[in-house]
Amino acid sequence: MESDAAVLLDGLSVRLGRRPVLDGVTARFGGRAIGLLGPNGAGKTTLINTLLGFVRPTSGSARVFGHDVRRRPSAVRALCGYMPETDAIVPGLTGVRFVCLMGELAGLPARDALVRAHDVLHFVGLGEARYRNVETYSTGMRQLVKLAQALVAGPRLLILDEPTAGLDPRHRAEFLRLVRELLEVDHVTVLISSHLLRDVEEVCDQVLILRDGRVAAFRDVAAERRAAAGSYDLELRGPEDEFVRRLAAAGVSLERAPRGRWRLEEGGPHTIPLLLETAVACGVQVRRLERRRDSLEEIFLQAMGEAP
Amino acid sequence: MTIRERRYVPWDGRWTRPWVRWLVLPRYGLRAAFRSRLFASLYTMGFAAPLLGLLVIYVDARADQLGQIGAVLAGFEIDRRTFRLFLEVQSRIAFVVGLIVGPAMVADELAAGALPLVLARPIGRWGYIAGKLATPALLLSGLTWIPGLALVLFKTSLSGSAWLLANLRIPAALFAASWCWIALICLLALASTAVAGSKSWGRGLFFALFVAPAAAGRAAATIAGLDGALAVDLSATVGTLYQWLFGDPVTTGLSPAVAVLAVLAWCGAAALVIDRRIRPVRIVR
Repeated sequence: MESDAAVLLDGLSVRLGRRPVLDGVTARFGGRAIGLLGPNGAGKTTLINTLLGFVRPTSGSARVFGHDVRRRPSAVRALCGYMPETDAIVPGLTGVRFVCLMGELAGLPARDALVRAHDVLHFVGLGEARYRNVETYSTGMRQLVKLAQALVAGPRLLILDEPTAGLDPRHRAEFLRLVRELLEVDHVTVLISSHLLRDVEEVCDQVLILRDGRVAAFRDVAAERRAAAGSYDLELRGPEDEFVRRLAAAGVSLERAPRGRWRLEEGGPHTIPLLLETAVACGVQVRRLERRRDSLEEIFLQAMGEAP
Repeated sequence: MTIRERRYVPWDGRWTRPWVRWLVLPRYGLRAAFRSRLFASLYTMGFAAPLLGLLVIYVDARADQLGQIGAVLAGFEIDRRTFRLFLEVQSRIAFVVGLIVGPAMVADELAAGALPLVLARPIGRWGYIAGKLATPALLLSGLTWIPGLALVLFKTSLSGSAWLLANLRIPAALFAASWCWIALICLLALASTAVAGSKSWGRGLFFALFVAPAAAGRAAATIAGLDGALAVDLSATVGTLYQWLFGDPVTTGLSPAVAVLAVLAWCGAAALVIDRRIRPVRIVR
């Protein structure tokens, strides 16, 4: 039973021992790249472990492309490629053998697995190092070989747990470029769990923010980005109330925004000159005027209840 | 030279059947084991007794044609005791092989935290465990019941099927006794490593399981007269089983029923430990 949503969570609760880790999580991941955010202990890794069938839900359900993770864990795993946060490499194997083994375990015939291993190692940029033992790889190379093993069987859902942890800026940029390249392939949906908001912001179109095992926010950031395309944020100094009143009289409304700013929705071509003229007339300094871009940090802080 | 395009392409080829995927693990396990020349040499030496057995059976069968050698061997009989002796020798070699290979099967993956990676594949946890147990089981089979049955077949080919019909207990005992030993070694080796978490500590624990309880059991039997305490001595337990299965008088001081129960208990306990320890995630309660 296939579903168009990569992941469907319906009142998902998970207890580990007596400790509730996920509590009634409901979400529908219909995007191509989903970011999973939250502070330590929020339940991100438990959610991934539940999707992979490592942990059984206490109540509610989780489905991956329509397959229930409790009833059909093998079918779910067959659709997933998983890159764990930990080092998790099998020592004593060359890069190509390691990836080939993972491919064969996923169900590729031996010969095909070997060819695919070469292909995905070239794709991630480890073509030159594929005959080296994996334990000799640097941190960046280890992350790449973990990505390669996750990709070798052509997963529908690629689960990346802290994929850029420990990477230097160059390797991080390279890694995110690979993820963006993967998103150009229709076949793949990516679920990224990360502490690094910038990583998620650069790649994801949906974001699920967890807090204490509950959904703190579930936002379609791609849609929000589109909606905010004509909006501006302003930072003013001086008699703001007078300025806002005059603008309102001229048919332009400003709204209060976080951090003491003002927000202008739907600024047309004549709005900005009008706004600047009014500012001069009122003696207001326009310290900042920029296209609105609800940063993920703001969304995250709002979700955590720490918005300024 | 193959020119590769640096581009990701989804897989749309064929898949292997889910119930055969675990067989990938013993293939890789055997390849890893024989990468060590030392191990390969040791394993090859394990075929000395089967080769000697072939020679003895041949000479025995052709004693009348071999002059003086035949006269020397005239009183020697190839019977169930000969095959039990063969299995006892091979079991000791199998123990050493198990000590080397068994803990190596999962130690690296445990130490590297690679279990989530492997168990995220559609093979299942018990598929993974079966795959890991299969490597030492195959290696030990190659030293115990497979050459044992080959010797039985050789003897039958030389002495005729009447010999086999009269000694049907021998192949059955070879097979059953070998599998008792193989199951014990494989399960205990995997359980030891699962507890210890590393190859060297796993080997140490595995070795200790055969030595420490044996010493304690023998001490309890000798000092306090508790013969049942020998049940914790794996050598005595398996020795009892061998004698019983081959139809020989049991001389170990342990009843076959107790020996069977002891082997089942050891295997059960090891399986329980494996079930608890070989998991993709360790839950801190």
